[in-house]
Amino acid sequence: MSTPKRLIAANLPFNPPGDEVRIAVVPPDTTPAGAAPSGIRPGPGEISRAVTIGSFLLAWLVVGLLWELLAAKGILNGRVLVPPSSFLPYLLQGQGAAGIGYNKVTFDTAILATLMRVTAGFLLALAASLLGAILICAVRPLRLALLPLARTIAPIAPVAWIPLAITVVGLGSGSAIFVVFMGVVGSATVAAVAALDDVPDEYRKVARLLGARGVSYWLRVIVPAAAPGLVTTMRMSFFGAWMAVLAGEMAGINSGLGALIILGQQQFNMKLVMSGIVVIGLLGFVIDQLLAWLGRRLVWWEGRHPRWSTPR
Amino acid sequence: MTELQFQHVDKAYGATLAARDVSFRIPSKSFGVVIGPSGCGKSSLLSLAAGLDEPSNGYVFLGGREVRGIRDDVALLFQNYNLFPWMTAQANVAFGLGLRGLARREASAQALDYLNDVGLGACAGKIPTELSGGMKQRVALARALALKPNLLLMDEPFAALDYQTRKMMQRYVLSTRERTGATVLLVTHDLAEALTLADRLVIMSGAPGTVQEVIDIQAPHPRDLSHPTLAGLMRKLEAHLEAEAALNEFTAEERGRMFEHG
Repeated sequence: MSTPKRLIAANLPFNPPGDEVRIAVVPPDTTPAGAAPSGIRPGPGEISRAVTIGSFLLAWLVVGLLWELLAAKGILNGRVLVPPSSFLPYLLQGQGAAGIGYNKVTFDTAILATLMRVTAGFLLALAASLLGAILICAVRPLRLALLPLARTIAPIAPVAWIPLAITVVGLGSGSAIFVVFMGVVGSATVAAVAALDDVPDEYRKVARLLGARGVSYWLRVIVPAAAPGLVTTMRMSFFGAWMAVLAGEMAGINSGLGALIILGQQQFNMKLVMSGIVVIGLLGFVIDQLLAWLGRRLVWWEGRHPRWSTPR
Repeated sequence: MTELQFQHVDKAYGATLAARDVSFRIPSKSFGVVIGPSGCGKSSLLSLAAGLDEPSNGYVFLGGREVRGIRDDVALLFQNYNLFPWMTAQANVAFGLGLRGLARREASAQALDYLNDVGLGACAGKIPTELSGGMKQRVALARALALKPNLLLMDEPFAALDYQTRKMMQRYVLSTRERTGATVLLVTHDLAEALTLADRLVIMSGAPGTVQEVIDIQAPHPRDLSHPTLAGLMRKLEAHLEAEAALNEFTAEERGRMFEHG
């Protein structure tokens, strides 16, 4: 016959013999508070803004110095791969221009034309893809009809639209905007549909139970719930738009930054070519940072945390 | 009268049968609790009662009328709160009120009253990520109660909360039920919670989910779970769930062989 279980309170280590149950009160930790290290340690993965900017500048400084070194040693052909010490003063003195007379293209006008085109094409494509994605998700027959269309358009390289754009719209800004629009709208629609489809089912249920229908359901619940994914779509689409406008300007639409680089290549003005590449990279970087800032504003709730939690 | 009744309900998702021939009744103004192992279709029953889904067979009645689609007088509370993170606590509560035709200012004022009721008036301007789990669930409850539901459905609403907050929420839900006279149906894994709250306990087994037993509990609140009757019921429920868990550890083929030899 087994002994009945008993509960014994005792300040003893565990491992009670047999089937006895004991509890033990552990004495409080008496380590002095001063023995613990003071100050708040940074959480894992947290990088300060200064470190981010510093590492960015350092990385380019290393690339620049290496480039200068290789050019000075003659390992790189300095006439073709013009080093920064040569093309940066050229760029900063505002000498960048190609062509003569009516066909003369300067950096100022080229940047302005390219930015105007990419902004117009990009915004039109974003608006169309968001509207299209909402319709695709809201109306089943449209999903069956429009989604395959978007999936077919998405993989077409922007350059492939250029001959059609020039033939239909003619040379100039209209063609470039058309190329940007077509280069972005397919992939942005597919990505926006994925973001809207990813909205947790519980949000949909809550919204419907609270009485949300139609426009209020989509604009006040589903679109905000999908906003983080839509913001990522926006940033990724910008890179597509930026490449599309430059490709368009290089391959037939004879103005803008892309055209300036091509003119530089035709005149073997490698300072102009390298300056153009740097300006394209810097502008793309700055616009991406602006979009990242805008994205943080649009999904402002993702950056707010209780006092006791670690920011992501 | 807001009696909830399931009548020979089957629910299938594709080829998978989640619930089979489920029949039970939660009388008007009663606190019903469904308890059972994971995957026995408990949450599916809530979706059916809320009108978010339709039974594959059978009927669900609310107040004597068949549930066909979403009704204005039914609210559902989830385990993970599902507050809209882009809205403040007050805006979350006011959202449903606004959709029911209240002017923005009136909806906001009423939302603040409901937040005060759950002790969160001071947090009205905070967004969900700035609130603790217990606070979020209280906001979700305020949002549900603001709709003045005749039927309050709760899907393991306190499962993610710490012990003290869970106890506090249980007391709050009980007092709210007393005050509003709403019928409540709660789904839980927690036996102590079930015995603390239930007027009627629906014990399910799975899968597919079937009703094993329906038990009425008549005991005043707050309940003493060490009372011999409740403690006995607790042991019975524990045995039931343990048997279900053991059954789920074997495949259908293995169970068949066990019964052949047993």
